[in-house]
Amino acid sequence: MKSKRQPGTVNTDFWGAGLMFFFAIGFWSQMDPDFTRYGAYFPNRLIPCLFILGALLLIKGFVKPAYLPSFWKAMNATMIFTIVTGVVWVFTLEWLGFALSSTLAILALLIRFRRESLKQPAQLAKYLAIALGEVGFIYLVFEKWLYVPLPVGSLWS
Amino acid sequence: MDVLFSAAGEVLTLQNLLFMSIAMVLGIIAGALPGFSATMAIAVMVPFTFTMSPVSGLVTIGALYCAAIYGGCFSAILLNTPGTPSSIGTTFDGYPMARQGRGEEAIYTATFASGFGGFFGTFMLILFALPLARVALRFGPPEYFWVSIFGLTIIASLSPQSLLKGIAGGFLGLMISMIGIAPVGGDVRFDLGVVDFQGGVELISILIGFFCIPEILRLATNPEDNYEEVKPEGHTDTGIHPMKQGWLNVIRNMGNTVRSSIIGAFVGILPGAGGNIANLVAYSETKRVAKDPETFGKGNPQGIVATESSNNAVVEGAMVPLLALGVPGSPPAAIIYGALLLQGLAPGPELFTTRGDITYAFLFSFIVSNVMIVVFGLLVGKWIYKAVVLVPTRVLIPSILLLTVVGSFAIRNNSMDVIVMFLGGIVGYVMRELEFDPGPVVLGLILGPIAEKGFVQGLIMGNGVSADMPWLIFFTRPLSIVLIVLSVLSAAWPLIRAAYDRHRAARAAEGGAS
Repeated sequence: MKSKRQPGTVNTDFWGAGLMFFFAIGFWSQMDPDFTRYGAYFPNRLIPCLFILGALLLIKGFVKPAYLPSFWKAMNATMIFTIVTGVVWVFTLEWLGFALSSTLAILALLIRFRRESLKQPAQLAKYLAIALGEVGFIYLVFEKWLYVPLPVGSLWS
Repeated sequence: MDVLFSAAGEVLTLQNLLFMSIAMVLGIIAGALPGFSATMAIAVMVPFTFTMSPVSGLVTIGALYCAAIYGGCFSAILLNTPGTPSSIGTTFDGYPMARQGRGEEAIYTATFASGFGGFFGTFMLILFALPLARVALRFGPPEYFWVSIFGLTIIASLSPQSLLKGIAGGFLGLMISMIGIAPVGGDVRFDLGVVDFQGGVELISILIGFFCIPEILRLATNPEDNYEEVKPEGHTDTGIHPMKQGWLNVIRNMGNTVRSSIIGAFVGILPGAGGNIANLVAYSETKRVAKDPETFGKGNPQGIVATESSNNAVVEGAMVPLLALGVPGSPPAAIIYGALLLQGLAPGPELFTTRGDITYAFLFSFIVSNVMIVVFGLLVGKWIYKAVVLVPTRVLIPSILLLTVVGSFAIRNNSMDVIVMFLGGIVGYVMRELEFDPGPVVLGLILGPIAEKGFVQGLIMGNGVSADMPWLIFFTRPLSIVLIVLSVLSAAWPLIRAAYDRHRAARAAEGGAS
């Protein structure tokens, strides 16, 4: 942690304050006047605390700032691909079903992590086998042995 | 003593040992799978015990419970993903050890610590079940509120980089815990109009998201960066075999082991509290009294000793109110309560007299289970570690992601939990990059419902005593006062310690000058 601004760094206190304000406003906007006294008691006291903590972080950001390397600069193409694949995976779970969405996502990640495999059919086949094997094993353990019903996929039903 | 010998005879049959061994393997696997909790494992196992004799059925369930809690350490150490909420703290030092090529030592340390914690908890259960249960029952809403405040005072040790951000994270966790139906009043709060949020945000999803996803994203920046190589011939930096080093980590710091086991057993006794709280409190206390607190979070095995001995002592602690008073204080205890009823046993004080043979056999089985944990841990620990370490990171990342997806889905069979897990993980990554540790957020999430319920119910109780000053009830009950003193001491401890260190340094300087 550095207390002097250097190129490529961010003031983490400012960002932290922004995050606290974001959550505080988010929760505050959801406060319903129809809440019972008991249901509103605790949030009514904690939401102002979130605002105060955000304000304290803001003040610290001016008085004694903490600078760290920008987190978005650490995000390279592979990481962004992982995030995008993960988001697509979890949002298509219910639609495509566990088996298909998981197999496709694992395969995509394996190929992205070693792109030269696209030119090697044997490597591609190996990755497909890994993806199918892992998904098949998990499916067997959860669906058949532990009786946890995994999403079948609304597309197929 | 005769009762115990007779119980040993009941438990140590070939058939029971076989059932317990099977339960042990299944429990370790269930515990190691993120999202598959001890409660779920027991729930799945109970139907298989219907046809067994009462002793066989109960010892099988007991072994499964112990093993599931222990199994959580494997994913915590190797994947930075707590297999169960009871092993959150194990990730703090276990995963750094694994990345440093000391994962085998970490697993053995966890194994011996779990075994010791379990032993300790069992002796507490056998010796003090009835008096401890009576103390636990004197805890009312004000006391639970103060227990949660005491729990929140450990934020300082969970957030070494920035106390202010730790406190902010803790409050954020408290707020997130309020999503869903209010514990008192029944209001549906902060659900954004999404039906799935009415049941609240699932703790396990947030746990997996906050601890595992940021680590996966970090690994994804360079998928060719593998675990450090296993030390040649399995030896540690000191030249000592990891198994021996794991044993020494537990034995040479007996104060830590015993203290953490006591914390675990006591927290386990309190209805509503459990391993998720005990392991963090034990970790914090260990760090607080350590001579080298700065090494915690970087691969200090004492952190593992604290969390693993405490969470296994919780198992037996949870049996105290269940068996002695018939009060199931945790979800696994509630299922075991059902299993006891199905076997024709009514939990309560009479259980120890009317069906003492079965009850003491059940208690004795915990000793056997903890021996089995050590044996199984020593047998399989090395191979599980090597299997994970040998897998290239580029294959490990999608494999762990698969476990996180299925783990967060399995808890409630709800796809929204998977979405919350992954999006929460991205938020967790950003927060971690901004120096917000995930520990305080998760602590707030765990303690939020206890704090809110205790506070609001306490005020309702206080209204009955004094309508003008209902809050007075929080400061007038003897147990509350004890907890307030403990909370103040805990919060002020960094200041006390700094003053003590300054005093010692001054005395050393004086001694050097003379």
